Amino acid sequence: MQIAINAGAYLAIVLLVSTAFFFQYRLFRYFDLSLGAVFLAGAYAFFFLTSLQVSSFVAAFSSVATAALVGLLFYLCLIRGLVKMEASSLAMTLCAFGFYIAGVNVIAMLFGDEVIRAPDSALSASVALGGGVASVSQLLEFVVAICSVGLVWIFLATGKLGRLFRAFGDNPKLANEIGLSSNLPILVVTAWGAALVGITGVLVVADVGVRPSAAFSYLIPGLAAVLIFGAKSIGDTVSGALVVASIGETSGYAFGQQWRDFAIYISVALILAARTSLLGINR
Amino acid sequence: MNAYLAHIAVEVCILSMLAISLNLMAGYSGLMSLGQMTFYAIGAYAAALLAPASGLGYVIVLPVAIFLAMALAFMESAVTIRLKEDEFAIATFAMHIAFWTLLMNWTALTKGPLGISGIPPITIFNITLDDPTKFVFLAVVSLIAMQLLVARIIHRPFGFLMRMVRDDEELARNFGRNTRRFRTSVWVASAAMAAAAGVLQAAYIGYVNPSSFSSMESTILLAIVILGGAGTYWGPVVGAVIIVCVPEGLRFLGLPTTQADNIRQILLGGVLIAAAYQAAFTRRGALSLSRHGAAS
Repeated sequence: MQIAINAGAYLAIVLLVSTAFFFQYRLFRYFDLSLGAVFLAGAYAFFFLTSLQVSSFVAAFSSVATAALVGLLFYLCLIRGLVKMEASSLAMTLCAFGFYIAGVNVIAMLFGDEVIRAPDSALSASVALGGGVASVSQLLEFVVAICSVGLVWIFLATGKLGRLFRAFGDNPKLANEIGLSSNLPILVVTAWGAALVGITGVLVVADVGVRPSAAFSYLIPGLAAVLIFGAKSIGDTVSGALVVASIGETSGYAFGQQWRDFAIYISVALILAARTSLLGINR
Repeated sequence: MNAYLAHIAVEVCILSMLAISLNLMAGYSGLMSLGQMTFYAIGAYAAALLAPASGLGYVIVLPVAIFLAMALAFMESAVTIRLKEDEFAIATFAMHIAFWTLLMNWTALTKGPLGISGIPPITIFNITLDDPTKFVFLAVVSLIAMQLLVARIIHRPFGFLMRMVRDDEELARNFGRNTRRFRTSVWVASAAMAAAAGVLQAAYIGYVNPSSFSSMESTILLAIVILGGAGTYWGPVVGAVIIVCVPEGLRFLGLPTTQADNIRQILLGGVLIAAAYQAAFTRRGALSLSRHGAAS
């Protein structure tokens, strides 16, 4: 049972992060590595507020809002300009990477480079579940991940904003030509994605703690999930997340948790190679 | 020579060599790798594992390290060379993290996070290069040798082809060139250079551990190349001088080493953002990052 709980929590993190990557990748075809800084903004805001004795609920809400704000500011100040200049995917990815590096170091200067963990709160409490034990954070991760995937599916399948999002993702030039406005759907999904990563940061810092340089450990599996099957639909991303989580958990169980990331990264490289070499699929 | 200045000079030389190796790949050939530190680490760990054990000295260690790096580069290229530009960057990054995880966790071989100490210094003509004032001469000679090698490469037809593949791969194909095989050759040559720099670093410091080869360092290396001017002859050296000297300058201003290092990395993050804008603005940029970039 404990293995299933751990696997579920890991899958939830991969789903949350990959959904955020999905939004940006679907719209602009780039890997938004700045989400690492967004993750840290959420985690450290929660740590800071709970250290000031602010209630867990208020601290969590404020931290997620902070993360969403950081994500929005990154888009408005840096990515929007590149999109207007029709920059390549690589240029945008590089810009996001630069923002991530700067963000990690700003946080390291403010809070230090050691592992921090939010003071004990309702989120870090443990709950007996079947024969195993789960923290409230792990349960929330799972619930939020499942709900967010469902909401994204509904958002994309129905409603005006979802249709606009798909239109700009599929053919931005044509969408512009026929006079569709891209501002609102882009801002909504940017804030939404950043909030999801912010929630992940909050739940991780409440559960196991985090350090500035550890953001990538949570981010890269989500990125891998988007890479594996592409991001035509949220279904592709969910399938990718299932594959990544399965590889991670299986290898972690068989060889030890320290080998989990190794197995994921090697698998991603091999899957990408197989996709391009054997199946001839290239973006 | 003052030992402190000699140490700075050695650091500049070794970092320059590493940046030159990446410049050959990213700057001249348009292969935006985020995994160059892998080959630097192979050089350093080969020195750490073989130099004390073999007793044969660096005459044997250096070629073995270079061979190992070239073999891994060849294998990595087989997996990733067909990928498009940003996927290629992410794939090399993923493989670097995988390699780094191996260094951290294969404790029987690498001693994990503790690292390996007791790497013997290089001895040339019975002179043991065990302090910076002696080592600096070897570092400068190695840097000059690598720059001369790069000059020979870029001023020959091979160098012309590198730039052609970077700027217009389709054109290179139309000239009957096998661009994939060509890019693999560049990657393998670049890996060999990085491994040589790694051997020097390990022999100089006498100690290696995985934190020197982290994914962050790999990305910062790319920023160094961009900062100095990717695809230019002296760019990597200029970038290395700035990146080694800025934290030293900040230290003189009274900032602790860790904060100086943070400021250095924030500066490099800014360099990456500026490089992205430059690429978008000029439609070609220092690294040919435009939509029709070389790796497409």
